[in-house]
Amino acid sequence: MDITMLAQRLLSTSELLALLAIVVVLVLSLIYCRKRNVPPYMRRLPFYFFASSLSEVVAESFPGVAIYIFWGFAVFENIYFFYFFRFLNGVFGQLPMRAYAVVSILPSFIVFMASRQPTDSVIGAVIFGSFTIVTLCIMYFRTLMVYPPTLAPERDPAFWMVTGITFYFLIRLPVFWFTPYFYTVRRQLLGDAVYSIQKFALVISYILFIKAMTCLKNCTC
Amino acid sequence: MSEKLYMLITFTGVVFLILCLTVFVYTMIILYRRRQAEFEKEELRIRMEVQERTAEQISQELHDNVGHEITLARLQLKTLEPLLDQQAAVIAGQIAVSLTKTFDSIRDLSKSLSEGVINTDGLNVAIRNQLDRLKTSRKYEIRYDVYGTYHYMDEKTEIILYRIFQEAINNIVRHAQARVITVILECSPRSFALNIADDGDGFILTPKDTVQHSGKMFGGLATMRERASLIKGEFEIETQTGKGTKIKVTIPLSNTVGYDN
Repeated sequence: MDITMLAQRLLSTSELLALLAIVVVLVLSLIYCRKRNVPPYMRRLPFYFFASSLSEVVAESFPGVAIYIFWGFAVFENIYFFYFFRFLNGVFGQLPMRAYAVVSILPSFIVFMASRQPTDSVIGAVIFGSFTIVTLCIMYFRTLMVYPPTLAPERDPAFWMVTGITFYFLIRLPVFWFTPYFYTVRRQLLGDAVYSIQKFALVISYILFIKAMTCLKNCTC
Repeated sequence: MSEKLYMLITFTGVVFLILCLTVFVYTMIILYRRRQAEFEKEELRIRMEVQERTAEQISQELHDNVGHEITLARLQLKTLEPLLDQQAAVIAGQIAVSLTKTFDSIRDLSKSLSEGVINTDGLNVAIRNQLDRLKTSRKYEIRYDVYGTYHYMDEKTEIILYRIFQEAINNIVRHAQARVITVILECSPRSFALNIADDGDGFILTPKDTVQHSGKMFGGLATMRERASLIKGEFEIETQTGKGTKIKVTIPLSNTVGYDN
């Protein structure tokens, strides 16, 4: 098989898996996030999963025009980050976190506004946003160790959600940092390989979200 | 780049990520459990301390106020006696006896709640005193023995062991319908064991340390086990319906003061 075709196939397989996983998460969130004892920050999850699955469908359906929707993608990225900030703020339940989230989204917004190339705006937004989100997630894990809650992490939906978010953004950060380098040194296939790894990471994080949704089933949180 | 290399990079990358994630999740869960156990232990220690303080206050209150009031009432009765006719004097005498009994019960209760007996005489004497009081009821045959040389342990350890002993005796008196109560202290240079056995009804032990006895559920065993864990003790229980109960608390003796009784 031609190597380019193989790369395309792997990429499309990971994208298809990601799409499948997000649809499962969306369905589960619609079932479980409406339960009465579910924390408020979890109730908003179906909206986010709907937006995510919509973006996956758009990316799958119009791969040829992806380059033209970079600006739109960048806007979506900022909304995406803002949503995760709100989610993490809900998990922490503290006002300073909200202030921290607003302050941390600013550099991403500035890069987005200042960039001349649409690709730069996306990469800038992703790098700043991912860095901030990962920092917040590390703070969550630290809190978990310093003040352990009564609910064990393996039964806590927030733990699986934050693990999924951390995992994905940790992978995303270097991928978006180095992918332009691979393309500039004409190592497009290596760039594609790294990009498909990132897509598989997205699938794994969606699986962790599925685990979080199943925790909600018997949640007394 | 060859087809194989491309596959290898992607596959290795994904496997490596999954491996890292698994290790991370397991580490987090293990660390959480360890931290949670520390937290629970600390919480238990604080709860026990509060209980001890409350018991000490109640003991003090019983001794100082209630005991004092009863003594006063007895004195007033004595003053009243010469002024009464024969029939009334007999009734006053009965009231005085009743007050004396109440006073004795309150004094015993005050002593059992107080840590004082442990602080002054140690666990060995405190247990012997409590068993002597139980013997006066003539309901039980008490067997008490100390194997080896008894060493004083630190105050907190002795108080916790004494509370376990009290809980066990309380359970026997309230539920066991026993005739013989055996208490043995096993002392060795490296460990100390408190054995309490009875020949009563026994019970069905459930996995959560609750006890099914006469169709009712009791949870005192969990408290005893928690108390034992505070002093790194091992709590064992043997029981069977109709065949009595044996409780054994074994603790390592790294914290003994080191003089003999």
